[in-house]
Amino acid sequence: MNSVLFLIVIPLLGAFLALFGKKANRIVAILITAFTEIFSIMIYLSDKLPVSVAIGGWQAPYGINFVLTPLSVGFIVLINLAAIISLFIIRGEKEYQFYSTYLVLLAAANGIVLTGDIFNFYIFSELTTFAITALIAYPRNRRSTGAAIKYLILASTASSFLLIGIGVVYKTLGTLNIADIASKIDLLNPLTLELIIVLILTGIFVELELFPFNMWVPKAYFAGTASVNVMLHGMLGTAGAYIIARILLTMFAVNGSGMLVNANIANAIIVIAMLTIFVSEIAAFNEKKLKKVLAFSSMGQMGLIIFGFMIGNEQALTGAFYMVVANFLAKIILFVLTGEFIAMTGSDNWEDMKGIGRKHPVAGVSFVIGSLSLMGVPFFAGFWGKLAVIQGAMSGNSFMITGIVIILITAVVEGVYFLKISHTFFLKKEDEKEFNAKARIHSIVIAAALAVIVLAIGVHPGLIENNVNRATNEILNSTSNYVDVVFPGRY
Amino acid sequence: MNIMLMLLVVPLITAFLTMAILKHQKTVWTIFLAVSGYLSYALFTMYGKWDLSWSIELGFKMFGKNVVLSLINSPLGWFFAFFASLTTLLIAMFSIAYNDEKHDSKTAPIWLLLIFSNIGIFFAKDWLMFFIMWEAMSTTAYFIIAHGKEISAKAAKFYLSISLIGTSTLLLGIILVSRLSQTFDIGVSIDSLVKLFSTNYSAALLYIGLFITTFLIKSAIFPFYMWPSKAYAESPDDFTPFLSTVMSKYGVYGLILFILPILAKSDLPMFGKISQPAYMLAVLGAITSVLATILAIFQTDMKKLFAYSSVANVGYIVMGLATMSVVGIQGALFHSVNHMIFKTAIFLSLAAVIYRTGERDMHKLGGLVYKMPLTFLVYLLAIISAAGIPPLSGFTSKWLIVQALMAQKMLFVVVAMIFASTGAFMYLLRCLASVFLGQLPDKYKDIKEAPLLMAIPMTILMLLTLAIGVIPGIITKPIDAVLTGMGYNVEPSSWTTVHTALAKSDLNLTYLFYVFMVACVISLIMYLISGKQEKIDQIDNYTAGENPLEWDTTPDRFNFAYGFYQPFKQMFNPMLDLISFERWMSSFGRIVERASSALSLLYTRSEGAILMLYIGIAILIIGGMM
Amino acid sequence: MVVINIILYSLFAILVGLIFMGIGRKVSARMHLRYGPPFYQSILDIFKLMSRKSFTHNFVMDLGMVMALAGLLGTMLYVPIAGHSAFISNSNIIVIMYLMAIGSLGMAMAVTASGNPNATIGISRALTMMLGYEIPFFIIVLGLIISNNSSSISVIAASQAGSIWNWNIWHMPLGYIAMEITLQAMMGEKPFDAMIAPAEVASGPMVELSGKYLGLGLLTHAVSIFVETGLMVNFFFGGGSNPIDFVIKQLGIYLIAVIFDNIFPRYKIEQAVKFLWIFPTGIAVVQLLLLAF
Repeated sequence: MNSVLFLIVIPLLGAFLALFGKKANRIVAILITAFTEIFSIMIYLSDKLPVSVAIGGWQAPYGINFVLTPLSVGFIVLINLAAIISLFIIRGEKEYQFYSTYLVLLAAANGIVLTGDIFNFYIFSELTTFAITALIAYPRNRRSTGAAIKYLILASTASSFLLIGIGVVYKTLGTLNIADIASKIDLLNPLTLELIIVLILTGIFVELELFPFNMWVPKAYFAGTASVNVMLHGMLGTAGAYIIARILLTMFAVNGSGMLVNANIANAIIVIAMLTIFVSEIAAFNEKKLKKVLAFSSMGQMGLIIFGFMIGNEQALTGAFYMVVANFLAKIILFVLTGEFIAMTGSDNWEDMKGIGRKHPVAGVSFVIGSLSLMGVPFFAGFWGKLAVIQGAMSGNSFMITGIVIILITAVVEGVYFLKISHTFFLKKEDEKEFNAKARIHSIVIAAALAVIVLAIGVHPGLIENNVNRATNEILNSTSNYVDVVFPGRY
Repeated sequence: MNIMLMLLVVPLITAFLTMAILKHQKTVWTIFLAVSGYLSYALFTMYGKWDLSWSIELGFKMFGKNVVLSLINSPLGWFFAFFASLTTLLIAMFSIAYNDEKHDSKTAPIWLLLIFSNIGIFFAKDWLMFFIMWEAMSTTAYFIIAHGKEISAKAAKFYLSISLIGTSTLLLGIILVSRLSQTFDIGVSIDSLVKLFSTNYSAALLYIGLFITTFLIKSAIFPFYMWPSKAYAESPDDFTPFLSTVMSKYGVYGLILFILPILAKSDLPMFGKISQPAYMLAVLGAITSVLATILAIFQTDMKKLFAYSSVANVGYIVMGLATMSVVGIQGALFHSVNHMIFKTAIFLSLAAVIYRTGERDMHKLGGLVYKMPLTFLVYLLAIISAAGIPPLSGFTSKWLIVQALMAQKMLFVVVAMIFASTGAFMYLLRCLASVFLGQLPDKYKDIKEAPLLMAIPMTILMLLTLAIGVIPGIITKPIDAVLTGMGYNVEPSSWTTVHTALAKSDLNLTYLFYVFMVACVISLIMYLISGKQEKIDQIDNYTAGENPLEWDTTPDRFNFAYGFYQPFKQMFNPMLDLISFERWMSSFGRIVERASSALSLLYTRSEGAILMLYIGIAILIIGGMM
Repeated sequence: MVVINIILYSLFAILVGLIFMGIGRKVSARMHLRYGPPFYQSILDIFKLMSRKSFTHNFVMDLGMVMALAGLLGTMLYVPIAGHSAFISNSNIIVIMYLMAIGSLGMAMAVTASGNPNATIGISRALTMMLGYEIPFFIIVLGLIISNNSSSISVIAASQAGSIWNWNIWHMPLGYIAMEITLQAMMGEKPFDAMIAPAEVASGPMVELSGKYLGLGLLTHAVSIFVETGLMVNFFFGGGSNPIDFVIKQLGIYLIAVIFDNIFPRYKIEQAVKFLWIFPTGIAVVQLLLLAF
């Protein structure tokens, strides 16, 4: 299974080649991404999972290893899907820098998910940071440069914390392998453990868009082009969800049961998740820039997902995975369409987007479907996630019950602004002017296709039931499903 | 194919079909009519077949087993679903004529989705199905109310925010209750709540409180009585009757389905003859109908006026339900149907007026009886019914509710009921006088009677209200089935007479009709035997032959319509200021908007980013210490 | 048979009402130190008005006036007269309350159709007044219903049979006082006659009525006097042992109203409603509480 390295090496190679390519860059990028996507789907469908791949023959814990489990490969599939879509909706980015950094991002995002080694995790996350910074700054105007610098400063600060955390782990446990750490986590004394967790969490929460670590989010989304938005959301955000599952619920889990080892910090994370949900949904309520609205909503969804992961029972985990999938699909619909709409009207403000839904009903309806799914309305994928998370949280402690109340209250706010915006597209256009640009059919087709999937999962949640169950099962029994894969026979 | 499934599938498929051919509006609305016709027919054939059901298992585990969505044909659900679809059928006929080039709201596909969820709500057997359909109903209704108009979208936003609060509480309630019973089945959850009432009273009260909140929101009962005046007024004119008559019944249905059985079976502290929670409900109903009546009296917009009137009528229904007696529930169910009939007639006749004149403010209209006599007649009979005047149908149900309230000795509630129904008289006549009577403004000299397709449903409704008024058995017979289904012991009701719990107080309505007819004949004879009359122009009499145009005014300026109840309003002004829920809501909305702006400002400033990062670390550290 | 009965009862009520009106006019005149018309003057008026040519504006006016009289006649038929009524019924109070509304509705419709603002103002005042007096009236009725556990007037009247001391006026004196005030408003007598105030709105509803329309209006008024006083007799004065006894009691009640009418000035409409909602309603509530607990 050493060929799994292709998922990282080929994009990196492509990134190097793109420096010399001219017009062919886009095609090359698409081909590479298509290859990684098809390759990862093939791995996912093959019956060889789970497997640990030692690079260069050096066995774990001394060598570098990649761990391929249903969970990680599933996330790879999602990340590469987002990557392909982000390439298809590119409008105007022709220079090599863009494709080169994009391919680095792809390699890094795949690496984050695949690596079984926390130091490589750090390396890959640094790589994504720089790639994303470059991609945000790509339009080279005041707005994008500012946003990129803001992100860069926050992300670098965070990664220094992450690095210190990893250093402490190495000092105390003498290993950097995630599976190894997971099996030895009980040996640490509580205070050291807490220090490590706080340091590492600080490192990853910036990328996870959690309040108050997320001051970069609205500006970054706002400054980025539509395809960068899809990358930020679909690649970085999805990788973030994987990080929660792997680092928090596998590496720092009690006996591999999917519960964070330190219950107090778990509660603190729930508080942070609740704050994130609350702050982001309220902030989005009165926001006029459509991209910022979506950025806030991304934060909110991330809060919801981490809330679901932190509850720690099977029901909530299932819900959280449903939510990851639903949020992934629905948000991509919205970002793709937003890019089109902004190009059509020449304005960021959703109040100026009247009449689009009348001109392109399919696009309008897809946007509505995406919004409804994010709101957690039945018949759309988001509903099952929300239902299961709330039901799972019911059996939790008082923090979780408070969380439910906050989720339900913010659902009202969220519903109001999403439907308000969705309906604006169906208003009559005031002036008879034509739109600045034409909507591109393939974008609308992508959005519509995703909308159909959202609808299908919503009507028939059994479609992805098996996949979600595999993932849930892996988290809940990480000892047998993850540690045993890396170190056969340790338990 | 299973007929229950067909009921859901047919509107769903046609919804997508009509979406594709939305440009051909007449075809779309005709399909809409055909679907409502099919549903009415299918439901009609389902009467008595209480073992019909349908269910599907989804690949999604909750409580350790796969989730099952199921439908069942219960008498209660059938009762609401059948009369709702009958109303829809009549509205659909009206809509074909109404949605021409100028008025087309393009809402038919969404409306079909709404009908789909409508059926689902009324036949749901488990909470998940109920919730799914409930939320589908809430969101689809938002899009119909907003229907691509800016001003309507504002009103719809108001509806949506309140409605979403309702779905949130419903979701919370459903999850709590189904955790209790470890299943989503509604019947089981009733039993487990009854058990909970005996062990943990306050928790049980909280559980049903969540449900009641949802139902009150949907039926616009106090303290949520404000949204209809906005949403009803701004929704498409042909959709308003559906919104007002069918959608306001969802809450009523929920109360009968879930709350009443629990209150009836549980052992609760009593207040007089009925339990305290039920009394609370009755008081809420009473406050609603009194407040809504007062507010309706002061409206100048006719759709707003009747929006408040609908709220008041649902208030009666809730009062009837809260008596927990056979007569009260009978009255409430009867009034639900009556309200569907007469309020549809009223809204349709007003829609016909708006269709012809394009005007919604009552004081800008007048004298339309000359141009639209049929519409006038429909409106007249409908308001007679709405005011609860015999021999039309509205009387019977109001009478039943009043009798039930008196029998249960709910003294002040019944006084509120009488206040509301006398006040109803004031606002009903206000609209009659301002819109149909008085002087016809010059600009409406050329308008015509409503088109035939509009006239047919209106006439049918007019005849229906008369028929039910004279022969109450048309409705009380199905109600018997509903009450039996709910576990009450009921005597089979007669075709002509309605019974009450009070001694010697039964009422034969057919006889009442005969008596009234004989009185009419006597009165007519008096009229006929007296001298001849001459028809003269209105202004010939009271301006003594002077022409108002000579004093730079027009005859229609003499219409006394704008401040119709001004002295009365002055009495209530201080109170109206005090209770303005609307103001409270919008100030709350402003607070959220300000908080929103402040928070998004936080994100646009760069300086705080690292500071916020450290705050986050502090939260983690403090959390870890705790 | 029932039809003939109904016709006879209707004629009887109209006749009694008209004679009452005549007597009322005579009593008013004597209080004003005038001689006054003969007691049968109202009957002559009716004949005169009915035979004159009259003006109408549209069919609503005709329909409304016929409806008004029919509604009141229908109501009258439900009021038991000393235990007799035109047909067998429970004479339900709630039915009577709602049936009376047909009369008001017909009247209101007919006069607003004339388009005269004075008439419409009169109607708006009349309806406001109706809301004013229905509340105390119903609270009193509620007390009676609760204490008899029946909403049948026959039952209420029958419960007072026997001695004069069984009359409700002794059992519920507060209710009687409230009813007396309310009755004043129901009959539209001063101080509650803002709707027909001749000096302000030129007799309000009546302003546009001529000839037979005014005649029908007067007939309606006559029947309404009969119904309202009849209700009072049934509620508080034992219902009468025979029709003559019944009519004499009615006359007494009517004369009290007429005397008050001549003594008091006029309330503005909002003052009237406030007064009705404070005093008679308050008294009636006290009475109701005394009965219920």
